Order: sequence, then structure tokens, then C-alpha cells
Amino acid sequence: MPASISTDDFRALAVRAGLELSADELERLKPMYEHYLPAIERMNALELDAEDLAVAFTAGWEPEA
Amino acid sequence: MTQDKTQDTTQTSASTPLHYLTIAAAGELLRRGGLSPVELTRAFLERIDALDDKLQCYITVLHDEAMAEARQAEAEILRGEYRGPMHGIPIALKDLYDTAGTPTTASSRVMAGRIPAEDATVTARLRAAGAVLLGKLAMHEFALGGPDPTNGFPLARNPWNLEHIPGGSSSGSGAGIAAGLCMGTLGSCTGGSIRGPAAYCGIAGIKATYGRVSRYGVVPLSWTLDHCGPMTWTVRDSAIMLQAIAGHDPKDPTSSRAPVPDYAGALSGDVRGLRVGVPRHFFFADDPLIDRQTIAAADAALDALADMGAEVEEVSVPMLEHAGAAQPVIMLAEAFAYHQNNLRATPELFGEMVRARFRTGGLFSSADYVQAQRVRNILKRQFADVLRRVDVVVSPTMSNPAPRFDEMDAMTTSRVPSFTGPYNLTGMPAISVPCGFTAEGLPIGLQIAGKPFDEPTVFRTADAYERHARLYERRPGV
Repeated sequence: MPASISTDDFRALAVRAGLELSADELERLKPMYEHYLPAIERMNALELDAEDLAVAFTAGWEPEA
Repeated sequence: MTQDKTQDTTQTSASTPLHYLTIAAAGELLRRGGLSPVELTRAFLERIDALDDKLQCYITVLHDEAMAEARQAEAEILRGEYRGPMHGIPIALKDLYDTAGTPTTASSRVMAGRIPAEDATVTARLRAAGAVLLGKLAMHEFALGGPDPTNGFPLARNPWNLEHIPGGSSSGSGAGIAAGLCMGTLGSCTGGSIRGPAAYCGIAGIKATYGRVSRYGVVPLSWTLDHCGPMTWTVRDSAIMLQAIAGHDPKDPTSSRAPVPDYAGALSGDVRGLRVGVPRHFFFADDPLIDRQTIAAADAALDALADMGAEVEEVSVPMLEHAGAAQPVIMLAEAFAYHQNNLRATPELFGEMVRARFRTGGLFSSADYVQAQRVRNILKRQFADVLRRVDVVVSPTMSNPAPRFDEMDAMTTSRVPSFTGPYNLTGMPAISVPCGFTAEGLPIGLQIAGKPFDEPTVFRTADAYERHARLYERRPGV
């Protein structure tokens, strides 16, 4: 994932999220999204084990853990 | 260095003004009849009236209701019906804790005029403990937005320097405790909103273990990251307050059934033999984005703990390097899920800062969210491994001291490393206790995290250090 995104691609993301944003709103929001991109790219690049599940995440801890 | 176990933080002198009494000291006076809840509550209301135009800590002040509750507490104590150490203690709540019959806004026009019919579970527990509710405290919009002048709600100031923010999102809570505008409060914490303002304002604040404190009736930000906990002047006061609110709540599906230990009873002042782990590779990294005065203060605190008999060792938690990606992805994606309908229908009701950040949460992919949760599970496992060898993990609370208001935009605090977010990911208990001041006189916090449900050891460590450092004797000049 690049550290920047084209305006057209960014608009597509916003539309997919159901956000009707003006050109000015898109322009102001884009740097915030791009701020997170490098770290998310590094996170997504991690080669995790198949056993490292997420969908069944249990936030709580058992007392004896 | 010899520990002075006899000098605990309840010590006061006759010259201590009522608004600077600790909960522990005031509670003892109230129990013995040496202080009236009415006198105490009136002192706080007068101080709020005198100072809050400047400090902007309160959204709602409950003058009449607080005095009525104080009179009731006084009558009960006089009848011998003393309920415990919170009885007659004037507190305030961050304005996302539901209070029956009193507006609860989350500092947002989206919820303006909202008056809950029912108390949050923790509100009800504090009332049952006899606490007197002074009012509802300022906060960053929906516990995220930042000090945003566009959202129309009070922007609390840092009592140590009014040009600096008090931290957030529990901004009024941190500032209110430091300025002596209430004796205790509850913050809420999704990425550091209790420990951050505690560090910036020079007070104690603990995020208890995920599931330890009910979140029923608390406006959510991110269901899997949100925590509740007390913010007070001293560690002992936080222990007293947590005792009043902790425990299973059938109304909260994430609430734990783990038994609640005696928190104040754990405050022995003794850390001899305590094993302290320090992930230096992350919290003390040679990174220009981390403030050197902060590192020096935390290092000095670690030296003090070692002098007091703790065994300090370096530990490694490799997945910390990705916590800064996982935490915001989870937080913002879950926040977007909660707020998306309002964001589409009435975006103008949100302040600019929170609107932009919530919208960003809608732009992450499902794969980003799933990967973040996978990283989170590994982080939790790595901390569990470390906590088999050590009792607590210690670091600075924040990577930098409080920024100035004129430095703030929606991303200011996101541009520096978050030292608090990792423990929202893992759900471990974590406290901030003051450990120094910058050359400019801004407080610096020390973060102490522990094993799940081992708040007693976290409190014991923080209290012992607090007794040693005695920074609670220094107050801001408001």
C-alpha cells in the first residue's frame, strides 16, 4: 500500500463508506488517511501464522491467565 | 535508600484547604464527624464558581442537587449510617457517564439535550457509596475529538499552564482534579484518555483491566478498547474509588466475574522483591519524536524503584512496534460503525476534528481491521509471556509533555508515539502517577501496567513510588 493515494481512489473509498464528501472535504480528509497508511502497510506486511486468528478475539482475560 | 512506609499520602496538615484534601483524608474526617459533607461540598461549589470560567472543566454544575446529596450524607453519618470511604465525598463525572435526569452529552451537539432516564452502572454504584455529584465534566467530543473550538463545548485548560491542553479525552477530569474542583472523577479510556490527562495534569489515573469496571450507560467509542477508571490526586484515592465501582455487572456483556480484591489494603509501601520489566526498545527508544526530559524522568523513577528494593530488568515485546497501527485502526473502525448513520445524516452536528477522524475509520478495509486484531492477539500473548517473569511493566506514560493549544489540530497527538494505546489493545490494568516536571513546569507521568486483574500490584507499585517522590505535595498555581 503506498503512503499516498490518488484523489480518485480516495473518493472511491469515501463513496464505498457511504460518505458524500465535497471536493474540499475530500482534500482535507486525505492527509489524515495518508498519515496512517505507512504503519498499516507495515502491519499488513507481517507474515502471521494461520493460527493467529482475529475473528474470535476475546477481549477479556480469565482471572487465572 | 530506606523506604518511609509510615508516611502515606493521607497525611494532611491543619492548613490544608478543604479543596486539596485527599479522598482518604476527607473520608476519615467525615467518618469521625470532624468534617461536614455540607461544608465540604459548599467549598467545592464555591471554588468551581470562582475558577471554572478560567479553567472550563465543567459542562454542568449541579449546585442544588449536590447540596441536597451532601445534606443527606450528613444526616446519614450523624445517624451512624456511614457507608464507607466515598460517603460524602464530592466527585464529578466525565460527561459520557449517564446520569438519570441530568444531561449527558459526550460533549457533542449530536447528543445536546439528551437526558438519560437511568444512571450508568458506575454512576449508580458511586451514588450507593454515598458520593456527592458536583456535576459533569468537559471532555473531547465523543472521547476522541481533541480540543476542538468548532464543537461548541467548553475546552478545559491545563491548571499548570493555561496555554497547554490538559490532555484528553478526559480533559475536564484531569484539569478538575489538579485544580481542586472535585476530589475524584471517572475518566474513560480507549487509547489513553485516563492516563494521558493524568500525566499532563500531574495526578493519578488508572485504566482497570478490561471487564473489571462496567461500561453500561457509558457512551461508547470503541467496544473492544473502551475502559473505565478513576482519576484522583493520589494513588490511594484511585484505589478507594475503584473499590466502589469494580465488579460484575450483568448489564454489561463484557463484564468480568472475577472477584474484587481489597485495593487500598494492598498499599503496603513495600516494593522489595517486586520484578519490574522495562521494554526499552519501544518506550525509551532513541527517537526524535520522544521527549528527552520525559525519558530522563522515567529513568530516574526506575532508579528510585530499584533503590527501594525492586528488581528492574529489560524485557522485549516485539509486537509493540505495530501497536501504533493496530490501535487506531480498531478504534476508528469501531467508532465509524457506531456513528456512521449520524455522520451521513447530520455531519454538521459533529465538530471538525472528530468528524474527520470518524470518517477516516470508514475508509480502512476489512483486512486492515482483521489484521489489526491478529496483531492485537499476538501483542496480548507476548505481554502474557513477559508477565510470567515480571510483576509490572514500567515506562513513561506519554512520549511528550502537554502540547500548547495553538499547536493542536486533529492529528497532533497522533504524530508522536502512543505509549498508552498498547494496554488498551491488551486490556491490562495500567496507571499513571506523576514522576517529575519539565523545565517549563509541566508534569510528567510514569506508567505502571500489570497482569490482568492484578490491580493490587499496580496500585502497590504506584503508591510506593508516590510516597517516595512526594510530588503530590506540589499543586498548580491556579
